[in-house]
Amino acid sequence: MGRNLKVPVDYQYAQFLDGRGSVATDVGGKASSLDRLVADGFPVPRAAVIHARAYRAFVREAGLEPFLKELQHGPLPSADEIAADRTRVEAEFLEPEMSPELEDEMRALVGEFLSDGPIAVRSSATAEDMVTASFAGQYETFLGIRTAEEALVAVRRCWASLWSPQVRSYRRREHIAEDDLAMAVIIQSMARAIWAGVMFTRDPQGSALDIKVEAVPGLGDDLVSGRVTPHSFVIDRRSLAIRARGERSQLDFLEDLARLGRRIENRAGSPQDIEWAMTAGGLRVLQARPITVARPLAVHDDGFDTRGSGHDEHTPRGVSEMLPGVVPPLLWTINAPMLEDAFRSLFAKIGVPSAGVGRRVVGRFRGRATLNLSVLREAASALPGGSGEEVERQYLGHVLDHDHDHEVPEARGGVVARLMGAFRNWRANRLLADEVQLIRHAVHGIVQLDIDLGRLPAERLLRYRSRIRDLAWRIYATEVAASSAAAGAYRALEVQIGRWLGEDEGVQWAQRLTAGTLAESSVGAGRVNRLRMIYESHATGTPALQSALREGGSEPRARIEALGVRGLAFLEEVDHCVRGFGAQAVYAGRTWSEDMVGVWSQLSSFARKRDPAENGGDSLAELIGILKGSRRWQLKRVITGQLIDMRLRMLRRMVEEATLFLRCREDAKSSLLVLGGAERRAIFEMADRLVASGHLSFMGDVELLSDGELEQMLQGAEPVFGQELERRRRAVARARDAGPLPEVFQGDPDSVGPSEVPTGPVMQGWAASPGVARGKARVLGSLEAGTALEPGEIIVAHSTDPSWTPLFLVAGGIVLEEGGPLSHAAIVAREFGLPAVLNVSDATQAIATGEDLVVDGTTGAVRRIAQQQSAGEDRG
Amino acid sequence: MKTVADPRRDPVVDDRLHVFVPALMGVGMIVSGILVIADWITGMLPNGRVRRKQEIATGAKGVVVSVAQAAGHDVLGPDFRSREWRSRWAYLAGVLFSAGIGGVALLAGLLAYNDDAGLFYRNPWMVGLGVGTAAVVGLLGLQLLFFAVVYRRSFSAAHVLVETTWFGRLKPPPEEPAEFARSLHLIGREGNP
Repeated sequence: MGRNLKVPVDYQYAQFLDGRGSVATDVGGKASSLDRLVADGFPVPRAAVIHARAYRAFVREAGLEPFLKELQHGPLPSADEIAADRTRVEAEFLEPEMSPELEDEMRALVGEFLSDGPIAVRSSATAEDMVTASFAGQYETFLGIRTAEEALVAVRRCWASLWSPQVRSYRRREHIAEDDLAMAVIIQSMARAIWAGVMFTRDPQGSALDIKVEAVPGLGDDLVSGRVTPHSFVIDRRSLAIRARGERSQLDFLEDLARLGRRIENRAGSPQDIEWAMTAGGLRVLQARPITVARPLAVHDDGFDTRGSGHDEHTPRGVSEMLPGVVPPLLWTINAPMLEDAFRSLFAKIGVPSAGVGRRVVGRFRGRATLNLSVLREAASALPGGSGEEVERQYLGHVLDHDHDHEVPEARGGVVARLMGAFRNWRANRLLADEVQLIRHAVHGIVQLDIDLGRLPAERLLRYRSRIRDLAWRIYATEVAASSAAAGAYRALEVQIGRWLGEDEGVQWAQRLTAGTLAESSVGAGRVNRLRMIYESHATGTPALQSALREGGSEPRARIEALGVRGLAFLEEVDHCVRGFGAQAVYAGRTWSEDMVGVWSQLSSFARKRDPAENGGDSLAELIGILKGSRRWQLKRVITGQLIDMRLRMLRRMVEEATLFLRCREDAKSSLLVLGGAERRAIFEMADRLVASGHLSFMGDVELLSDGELEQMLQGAEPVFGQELERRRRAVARARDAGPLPEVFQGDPDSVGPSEVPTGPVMQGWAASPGVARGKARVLGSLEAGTALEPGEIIVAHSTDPSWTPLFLVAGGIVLEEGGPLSHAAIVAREFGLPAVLNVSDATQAIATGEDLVVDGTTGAVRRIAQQQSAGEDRG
Repeated sequence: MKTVADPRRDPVVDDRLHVFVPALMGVGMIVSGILVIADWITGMLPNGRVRRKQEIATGAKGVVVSVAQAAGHDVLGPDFRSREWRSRWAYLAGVLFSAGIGGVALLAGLLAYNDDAGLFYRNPWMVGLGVGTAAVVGLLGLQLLFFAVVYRRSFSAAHVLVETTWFGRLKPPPEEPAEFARSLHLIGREGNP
């Protein structure tokens, strides 16, 4: 075993894989992965690696560079030419003389292994075992080598396999750069296998909750090459029970093997494809690499999109505020697992842990986040009083017309089980407020620490980031739980008031009563208020500063700096304040400090426009006045002997509860974003180091890496090549161009045709914030475009997220294609007293910037003046 | 033709049996009474907010410390589970209360012992109970008197008792997250500044 090796120090072109660390560009992906397995204490057979620089020295000395250039730039061979091409490449590597220095060293190295028995010689290319392209089975492996001569030939053949026709074809298909490719070679003692095979820690063809094992008696070579049919086993990841098996009833080491697989996956941070062997001495790991599923990528797929399950329905609604727009790979791989886990944790809490088992709740299509509506319906219908329709109403703002194929399955469990679930839910909600308080305190504490990340060694930096991430997982779970509780409490309030005053009144009063929710939250008004305080303390009595801000523009910093000491003091305070805001819209995403457009827009609005509306405060008193003024209400009170008016007491409690949970949700969201700012700093520090080490060309490219790739690259793993990054960049850009997803789709969003753009004079949507506003439309595709927004204009957009809050103070009204009663836009609009209509289909396509609109946030109507006039003329 | 009851008919307004309304009214009055009593009791009970706040602050501090330690630092900050001195008036009130209870217990024991018409006439247990109660409560009163006299002076035994037992009240931790954050200080470890 590697740990017991005496490590020779005089090898120039080789090293033993003893877990002391290796440079991936020297040892290749496979050897680097083996070295990490050794370092983590996994049972790996004794191994060493001949560095890639030995390959480079050989190519240089043999004068192979022109030949390789020709392969690199020339056409790929046709099917008839492949065998000849392979022979030609092998001959080029087998014929030249090797320098005595290199040959002696390789003989000495293999000699150290051959004294213990036969060896395996395995390729380890510098472009191998990438997350998106594993090169599985593409390079050569030679088993049962018994002499040094055989070993030297095997090494040359491994080198040649770097340029075999099928590998060149694979690289071109995957757009992997061929510049500076090299091949390291692993020398490994042969494990005397009784059984051997491969194990997928997540079944690639089945459920992600299963481990799949394929085993053959003896060496696993025949299995890997596909020459024999293996015994297959499917093992439950959690219980380790065997769920499906092939002909053989049992192998007594399967449970240990599965456990080993789980440990390796936990260490690696991603699902693994593991080659293993069972020897007389126990289990051995021969290699482990990330699982990749070969599939053709759509032009707008950067490799991180979800494959639709075909039957499940997905919607972008409800998740687009957490993960807005096209989510780049880094943010997706950071956020999606946390959000998925948060939903799973919520399901467990409400007593339906089995809802949608094996199916993902959170998906990504055309780069945009979605929720699995089918799974959510299934979970909701298991609760007393819950239903799939309620889920649709909450996420979509209306109930879908279902055909029979999409019916929600019957809720599982009896009445008692469902009541128990409801009780657990109620109990968990009681603890939410405390959990949110703890989170807020902890996040403030962490941000205030202000640790100098630049001075941390890589290991500490990663550990620091991992601890921050632990807290983020917790906050995500709290936010999702608070959202669910808020939705339930809000709906109950709507229904209850609706019983007394009618359904429409119930909807409107629920909006008004919860309008003050964000008053202390930093997602919306709280953030605005802090900036306002700074503005007022500096700008009052300083007309020059007011004027500098009033002029607007995306970066008035220079004008303010020119004001001297007062301007600099103002800027310092603004910068300090904004730093504490954290990420703008998504955890670990762009921060307010990085992009000050929204902040300047907000500050300039103070110099131009009104205060936020005073809302919500007296609404409850007003409602109570209306209710008590009703004779029917008074009569019922007398008849039912209510010395204390229990209905009012219940109303107050329901309002308190809805407000509390909404505030919990917003506070959790706010804390997540602030913490996201701390993680963002760590990511930038990591990116800075990768740029310095030449692994990345630009800091911004870090967004195109997956979370695992970023972390592994910092630990010295193989970099993701520039060409691959370029491919992802193009895919992300195309996904942005492809526009928003359909409201609901099954399987592939592209299968849903474009909807007909409405042309009528009135567009109907969901009345989110009462009031009527008239103004010119401003169609906004992004926050950056918001700098053009003039005071009083109506914002028309697909959706908004917390980073848009500053625009709300300038706008006269809001029209969005997405959003429900509890969406951020709805809550902030009510906070600021802005009429808002949400869920207006295709508004951004139908309405043009500059068009006159009347937004009626009470009835949910958006009137297009020009169309109304022309319709009137037509009738006339 | 069979008559079907109109389901929209309001049972409250259309109570023709003259039973439903009085019954409903009675239930309403009883529930109202229960609510009044429940409100009164809830108002009297000491709420657990301070303890919960302490638990929140302690938990949050633990998270902050773990993050700092991951980066090779440590965090200095107050112990959010601590107790503090009650007001001097509270101790004096306790003294008076103890004296009152002790005096009543002693007197009642003696009177019962000497009351030839009573159940406990010449029963030494009653005297013992009275004296015992008076002694215990008296000792407690003395302790409280001691606290009232040495109030907040540097006397370590008194401080230990106040900070670790109910002689002191729970100290409210910082209410606002920003205030909590300011109470924590990053310090270097393992060679870091």
